[in-house]
Amino acid sequence: MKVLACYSMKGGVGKTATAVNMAWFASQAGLKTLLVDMDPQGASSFYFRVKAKKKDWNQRFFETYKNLLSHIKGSDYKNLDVLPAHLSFRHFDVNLSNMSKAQQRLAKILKGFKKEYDLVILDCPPTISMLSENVFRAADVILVPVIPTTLSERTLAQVESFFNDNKLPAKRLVPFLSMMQRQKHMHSDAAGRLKKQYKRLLKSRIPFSADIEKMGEHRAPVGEFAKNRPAFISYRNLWNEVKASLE
Amino acid sequence: MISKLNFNSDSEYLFWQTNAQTDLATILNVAKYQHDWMPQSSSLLLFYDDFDQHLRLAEQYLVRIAGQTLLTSQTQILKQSDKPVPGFATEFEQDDWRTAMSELIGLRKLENQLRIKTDIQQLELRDDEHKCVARAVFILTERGIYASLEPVRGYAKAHKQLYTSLSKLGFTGTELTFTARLLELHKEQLPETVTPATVKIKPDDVIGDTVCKMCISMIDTARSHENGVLTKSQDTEFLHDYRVSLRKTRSLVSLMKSIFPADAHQQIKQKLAEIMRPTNAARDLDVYLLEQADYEQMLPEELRAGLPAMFNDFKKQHIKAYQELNAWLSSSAYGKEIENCQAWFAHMLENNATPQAQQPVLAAVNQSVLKKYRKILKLGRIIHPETPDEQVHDLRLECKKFRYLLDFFAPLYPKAELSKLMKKLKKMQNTLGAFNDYSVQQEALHDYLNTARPNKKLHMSVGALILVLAQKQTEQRQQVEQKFAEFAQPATSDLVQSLFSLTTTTSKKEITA
Repeated sequence: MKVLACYSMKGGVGKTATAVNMAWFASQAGLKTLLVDMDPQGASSFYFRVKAKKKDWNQRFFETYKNLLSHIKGSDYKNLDVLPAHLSFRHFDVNLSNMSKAQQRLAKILKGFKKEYDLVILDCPPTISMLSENVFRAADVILVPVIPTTLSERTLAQVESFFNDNKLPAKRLVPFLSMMQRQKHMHSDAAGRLKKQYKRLLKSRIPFSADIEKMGEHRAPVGEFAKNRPAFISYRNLWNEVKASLE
Repeated sequence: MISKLNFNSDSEYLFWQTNAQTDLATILNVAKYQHDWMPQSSSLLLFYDDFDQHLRLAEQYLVRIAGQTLLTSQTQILKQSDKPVPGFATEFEQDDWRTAMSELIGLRKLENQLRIKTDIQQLELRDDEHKCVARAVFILTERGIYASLEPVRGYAKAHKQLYTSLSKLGFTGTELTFTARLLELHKEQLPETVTPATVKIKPDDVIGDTVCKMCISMIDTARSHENGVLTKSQDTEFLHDYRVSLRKTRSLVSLMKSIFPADAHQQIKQKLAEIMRPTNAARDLDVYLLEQADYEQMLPEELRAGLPAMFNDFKKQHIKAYQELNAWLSSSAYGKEIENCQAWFAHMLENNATPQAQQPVLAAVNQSVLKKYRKILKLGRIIHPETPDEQVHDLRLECKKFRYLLDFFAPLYPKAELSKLMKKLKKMQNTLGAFNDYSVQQEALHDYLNTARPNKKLHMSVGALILVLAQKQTEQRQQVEQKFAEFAQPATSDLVQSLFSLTTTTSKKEITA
């Protein structure tokens, strides 16, 4: 079992769209996949039309993986299950701070899914916190969408220095260009700089696309309504690169 | 939208035995949920099996439905693929299918033995978010509706509600897969299973009667394969089984010759040999063509160039051999000959002519087994590295007869001990059999070369093949003494003694002498 995190310190960069589409491609490729929606906004749960149980259960999330099992929902697609987010997940940092070996909790509970899933995808909230540190320790690959703008470049640099300061393996950070608008000079300039600066930057670029925005309308991954359109093809390329980096 | 039928391992099955023309969409209502019915489609449900009904006897089902091929047991879907069903196990594209099917049907040919007209309806229940919460596939036939319910994880309630609603309509739960359930309903449309009539072997019966009945039954079995040889020449097992039955008949006659009047057994053996002779060429060519890939493997690549020409010749000869064979099997001369043979055994059954024919079965068989065993020991002990091949062949023939004898009368003896003896024997027989096969094949290739056109590549390849076969024969030959020594250990004699001396006075000394 591999763990893939879709993470960005900055919001609105296409993180959830990435998590949802990667989960779809993985399951289509035959991998038993679980998407864990850790973002209390619950956007990826919304895309898959799954609702969390009413009761708050953030407190029990990090106790044992068995607590998680009863919350898992089958998606409409083969091989793909979803653990929907709950608004109470906003308290995760408080919950973790009261636990022993707090930075390792997530890695520990995810191990329980080894028998059932080939791939666990974490859709993470846009923060840098104890929860993020848990994600960094649990994931084999941390996929970071970066809009080619100065501000995004800056946050990527911040995350990298966080890794270095906390002696985390920075090689797990795998950035890629997201919401790219080729016609914007600023985007292509920034893309050029990022390419030079980050050797691990993936070749695939996800364009700014109406089809990706329409995911909210269709409440489905692009593969279900925009097959073979440019957005679909760029996600497929991204999945192929991600798959290779997971191996 | 479901594009293909899904049968999951956690699905639950229901069946409603109804012949009413039912429109499920109008009568099924699961409260609170939206019902998404996919467009109904018609499909034939095709059941495949071979002539021996190997699949059905193993309680497995190979079907084609809605563009899917499925292999199921009584209660589980074992394999699912979108590839069509080929004729033979070796022709399945995927490795796992090939292995599974080879184990099930061997060399037999698959044929479509039953077709059932079905309509397929698929349902998805959706909640207020339009999320799918339960799925069902319905297979509608004239004799009932089969439902496979696929639960969606985390939505147990919806699944349960669907189950309850179906129960209220008249559905009841079943463990059986749709294949097993629907086949059960259409059983009478299946071709009859060919179960060769077996003769019950009882220790106190009269040996003459038992042997004659067995011979008549084995000829019946042989004849049950005639049609297969005549019409389905691609399935080599028909001819093979036909010949095995006749060969066993001959063997039984010669094993029990003392129950027939002197010389009479020679005549009937002669007759049976004459009946089988016209089948030899076709069987030999069947075997060469089946082993084509093995022959290719025996040669290094640069020496294989002439093999396609040889196999092309074999294919031509094969067609001709089957034409001649078919002419023989459909001739009145053949019909008369084989009926005469059965009549002869029937006559013998009425007139047990020799005193030996009156013996009880167990005593006669024990005697015969001990005699054969002693003969094997005698022939085996004189074999040394320089012994001519003929004597090794003699040993092989005796072992084969011994093996048949044990097979014929196995029901008389304790299963575990007998199979222990058979295993010991089999090890030696494998070596002797391979030794013989390589020798026969060399001879056949020599004969072929003598008549083949003067083609350099062809002669080079066939020549090389003969060399390889000779080498392999030598390897087997070198093992014969060793294999015999392993077989002829005191433990084997003890086993033979304990199995076959129960009612005779033969002492252990006599056996090992």
